Amino acid sequence: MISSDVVVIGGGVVGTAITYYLAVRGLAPTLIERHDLASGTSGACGGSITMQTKRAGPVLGCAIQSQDLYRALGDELGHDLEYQEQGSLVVAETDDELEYLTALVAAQAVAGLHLDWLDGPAARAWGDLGRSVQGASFCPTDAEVNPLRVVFAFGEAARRHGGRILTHTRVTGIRADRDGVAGVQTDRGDFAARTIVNAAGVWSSMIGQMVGVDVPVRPRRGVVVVTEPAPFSVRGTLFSAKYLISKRHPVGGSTANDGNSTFTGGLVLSEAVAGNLLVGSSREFAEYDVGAPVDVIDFIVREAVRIIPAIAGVRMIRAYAGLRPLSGDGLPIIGNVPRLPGLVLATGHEGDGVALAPWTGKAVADLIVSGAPSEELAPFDPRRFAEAV
Amino acid sequence: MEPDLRITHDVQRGEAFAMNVDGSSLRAFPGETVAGALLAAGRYRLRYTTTLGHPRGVFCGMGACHDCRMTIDGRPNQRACVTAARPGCHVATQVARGRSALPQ
Amino acid sequence: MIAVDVLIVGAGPAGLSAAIEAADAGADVLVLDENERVGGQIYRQLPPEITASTSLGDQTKARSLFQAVESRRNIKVLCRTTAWGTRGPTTLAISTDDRVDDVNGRCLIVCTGAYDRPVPFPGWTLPGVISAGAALTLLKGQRILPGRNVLLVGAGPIQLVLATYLVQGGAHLAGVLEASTRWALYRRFPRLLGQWALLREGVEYLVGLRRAGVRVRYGHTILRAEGEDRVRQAVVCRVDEQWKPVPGSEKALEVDAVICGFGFVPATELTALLGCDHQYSPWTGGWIAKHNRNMETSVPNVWVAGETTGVAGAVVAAEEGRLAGIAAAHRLGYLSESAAEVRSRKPRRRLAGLYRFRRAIDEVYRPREGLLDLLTPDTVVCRCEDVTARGVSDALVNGARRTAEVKTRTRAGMGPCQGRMCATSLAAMVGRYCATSAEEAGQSRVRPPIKPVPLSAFRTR
Repeated sequence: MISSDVVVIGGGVVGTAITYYLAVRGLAPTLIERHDLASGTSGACGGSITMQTKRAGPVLGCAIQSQDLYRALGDELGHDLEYQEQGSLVVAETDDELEYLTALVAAQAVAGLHLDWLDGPAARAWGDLGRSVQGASFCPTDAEVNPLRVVFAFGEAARRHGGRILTHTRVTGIRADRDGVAGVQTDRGDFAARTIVNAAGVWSSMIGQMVGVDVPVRPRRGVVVVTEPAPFSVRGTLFSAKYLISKRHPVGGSTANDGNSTFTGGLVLSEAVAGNLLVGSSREFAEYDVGAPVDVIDFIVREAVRIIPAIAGVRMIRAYAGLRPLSGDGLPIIGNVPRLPGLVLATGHEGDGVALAPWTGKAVADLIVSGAPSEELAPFDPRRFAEAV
Repeated sequence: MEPDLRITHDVQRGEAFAMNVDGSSLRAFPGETVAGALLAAGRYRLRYTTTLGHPRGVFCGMGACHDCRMTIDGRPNQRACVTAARPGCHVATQVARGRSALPQ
Repeated sequence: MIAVDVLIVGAGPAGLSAAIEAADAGADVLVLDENERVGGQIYRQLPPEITASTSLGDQTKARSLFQAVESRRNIKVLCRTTAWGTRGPTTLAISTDDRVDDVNGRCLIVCTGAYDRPVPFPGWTLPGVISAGAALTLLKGQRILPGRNVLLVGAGPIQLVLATYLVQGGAHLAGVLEASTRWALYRRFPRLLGQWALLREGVEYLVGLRRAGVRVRYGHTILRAEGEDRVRQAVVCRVDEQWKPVPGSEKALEVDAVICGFGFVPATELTALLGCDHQYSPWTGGWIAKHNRNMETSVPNVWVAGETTGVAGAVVAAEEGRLAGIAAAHRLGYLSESAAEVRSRKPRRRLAGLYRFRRAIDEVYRPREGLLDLLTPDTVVCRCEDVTARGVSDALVNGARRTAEVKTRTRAGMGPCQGRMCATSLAAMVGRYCATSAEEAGQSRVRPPIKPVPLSAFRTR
């Protein structure tokens, strides 16, 4: 039996971040991942670090801290994470959307995030956008990063600082005794640990079940269409207000046994460093299926062609689908599980995992080292799902 | 003399026409693809890759490998092996992806 | 949306044969093909603007197929049409003439053929190094030679065919290198008996080449292609029984084109998208859709035929197509059970013998382990994304254990060809490194679009 100070379950962006921050604090964490790093959600997501789309309140506050960490992270980890601040633009096409966006700008201003407002002509001039665009909000400091590079860099740096990364190792059980968690059972042997972090994203509930802890996280699928490298450049990330509204107030999204499911979505467009355009996105409940239905692709592409007509000259070459871990109330679940000392949850980041990863990693490392949760973790406390945990 | 890899024995082609390839005139026949006309003239190199800057030309010849991408009539990423040669069309060696920025 | 009785994807010998059987039984049939005209790869036609008095290979079968299709009013053909996704069990998303649309067939027959097996070696990305399929397409489709001083490398009967056409067309052959040994072929000779027409064809090719002064060199292959902006020289070598280069046997040849013919890989993107069960075939060195004796896949009302089921040539493709067309017609009620059985007898009988022949050929020319030893660290493995063998081995050293994981770490397979030119190599490399197998290395999940689609096609409804 191998012993570790902390075992982290889940090799995505949250799990590797936590493992890194634990390692630099001198603990000897072990990360256990059933496939390779970034095989789950973190290998099928976008890389936007967008403050303007974050809900004003705790999430925005933590996201701002997280972005601050990102600015120095590449140097700190010794890898180019392809982090760049080229801003983000949210466009409104209808009167309702204009109203929504105006309110958003005001709310973010109150929270300390200043956004530029662009009227119709100015918004369209941002990138030769379509006639339907009536206005837009712009945040010049919003950024993008390459999520795969972030995951691999966190993993490699964690190893360098004394952490252990065990891939292709499947957790089969969690042992607990009178004092709390005692260890993790895997198909490659047992690991004794008095602290176990459940950072298994959309699979968190399955890990939780191993010790009778209900983790209310379910997968919500998003589809992204990838084009060949475009002959034009896109600076920053382009969102439609429709996308934002669908994120905050998703309508529909049911898993029906007849195979039909409804989805919502809107445009999220950015350019990968290689020049391909990433055109998303959608939200729907489809269990754990990572297919990309043609009707979702059809929807996304039509949104794109309407808002940014130049994209019609480009071809799509592939599509991918990722599963966002959605918690019961849409906020991340980060903190101790009181009735099982030593069990820490760090999951439920929905579409904000990449943006919040550095902050989450640091906050969880602090929590484990100090033993007590800080004020800023209060909104994410697992105890709010009282009966469950 | 310009090399010509066309089989001529017992083969009948229509009237030759000219394509513009990288600024110079190149002969093509009706029914040929852009790649075919270029290969027939001994023009093997069609583009340079984005990452390593390596020269590439036709490989699979059936539109699957995308190695024969050229900028044709201003449109980049056209597969020369499945694009018909047309009189007066402008064909350019594609270097990476020949980009412009969206006006911002 | 277009709706038909029988929807067929692919207008090669399999698809056209299926169309004729289904139409003759009374079904209304639609055949889709992404090319300009019917014929697929093996029956590729000249465009109307180019005519040739001498044909390359025997065109009688092809011509009678085309005529049969044209003369039947209940067969419609849509060329320049790509099936890029699925909308339902037998409904496809297509793009044609810059417009997307949906097509439904009550029955669907997938005849999407195969593409050249890509075998990476140093210099294989140089202009002038092309696949056997590309050479055949140039010759058959435009009567253009790939070069004047051509080297053929690879394994399999396709080389004999190509060599013959090239000589006919006036090219000089710098060499015809067959990786397998003569002995590998002779050992299986008894199993080749019985398919006299095919055997005779093979012998004819060999004799013809001998007369033209062309000697096939067995147990040889290419070590590297060299040149600045195009291939000018090839270094060739002897190989052992596993096709591993024999040190000290290198020889340099001046060439202006290299044609690589290492066999073909079935195209299974559409069957994967449709949810059909697949199995790994070591003879093909790839995955094929499982099917029953009627060519029906694990998905009801979806059939496969032709190279998609395993590479075996036009004759097998046509017979399989016939079985699928008959079965579809029966499913729709156009043929009774007994009528279908009767019509299927001849194709089944022919196929039984052909499969035995095909299996023997597959064993001779199956790609061997040694091909992986051609790789050097700088050899590009993923052509689209310029990922080298070193990049792949770094990914493996850093923990990747499956093809999909190598893809995530290196971007290999994420380019416009979507892994068609690198997936088999990646799987072999993963299998070797992990001491498992290419089969266990697995495949990446197939999603639409399985072929690129211009976004402009979505502009109107």
